[in-house]
Amino acid sequence: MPSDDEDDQRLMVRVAAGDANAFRALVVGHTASLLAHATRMLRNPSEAEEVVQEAYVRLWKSAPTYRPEAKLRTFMHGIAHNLCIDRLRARRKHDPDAVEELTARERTSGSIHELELRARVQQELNELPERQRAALSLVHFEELTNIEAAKLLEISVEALESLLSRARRTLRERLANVMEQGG
Amino acid sequence: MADTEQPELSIERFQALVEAYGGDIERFPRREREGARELLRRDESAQRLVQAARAFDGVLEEARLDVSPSLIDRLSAIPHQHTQRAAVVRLLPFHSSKQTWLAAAAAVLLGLLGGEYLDDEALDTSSADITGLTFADDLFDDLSVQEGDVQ
Repeated sequence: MPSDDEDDQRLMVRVAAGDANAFRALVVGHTASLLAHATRMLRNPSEAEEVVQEAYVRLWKSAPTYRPEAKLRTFMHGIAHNLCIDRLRARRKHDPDAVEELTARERTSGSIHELELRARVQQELNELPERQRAALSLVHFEELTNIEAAKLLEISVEALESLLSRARRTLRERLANVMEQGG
Repeated sequence: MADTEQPELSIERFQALVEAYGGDIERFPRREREGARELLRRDESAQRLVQAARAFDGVLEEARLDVSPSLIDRLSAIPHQHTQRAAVVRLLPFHSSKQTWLAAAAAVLLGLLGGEYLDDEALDTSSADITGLTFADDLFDDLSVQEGDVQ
């Protein structure tokens, strides 16, 4: 559950003064959301944990100079999201076919009858194009406002809505059989 | 984008919002929420759209991820493993790491030049003094205390 924004700002004042307990409170409040977004972006839980750790290290180190120009939640998601983008770019640079191979492997990994519902939904989410996945993750799962998410992705609100619509339409089509079975 | 309420909402715009944000009107843009609620109260096609979108939202919820307590503990240990970047800079009137290192180099240079005028006894420095000069952070801490002591 995300922390209350005013509480976050108060905690950041204490973190800037070197208060480790206040830092832990921020970790407890924000980690689930950051980790979920990084996992969806990178499709690799271990790398996602590394990204979240790096984001918190940066927050801790820069806390004394932090200026509350945006909600802390948005600020943290911005750090984590950019770290994810860096890693995705590095992956493509080192192995341009890596993403496609992963997708092909996942696609042949089993039928709906063999997979748990959770795994299937996660799999289809993973197969969305990067920008659509990011938009859906930020707005649906991490509950950023449309303005916050658009700013983080450096696009207009209209472009964000287009990404969201395409993401949901694709998932609805791919998960139609799951929804039918679920009643 | 303006944040003022727009109570009138067409069914076409409502459908576009549902397709983008799902069946929870709280996720809609703030300025269009009231218009959406009003339309939802009186329009059956809007109600059907929301009902279908909420069913799909429920499926998406299956993809929510949990976080392990061990990860929380590991992240909470960061303050004990990393120094806050600005802790030294705050004590000194320098605003970038480049300025800080230039100041360190200048301090060492002044120390060496000053040493030329000292007698042999004064130059009999202990290893602890030399070790102190190799750690810039410690040097800055010393310098900042000396600055504070000067009346």
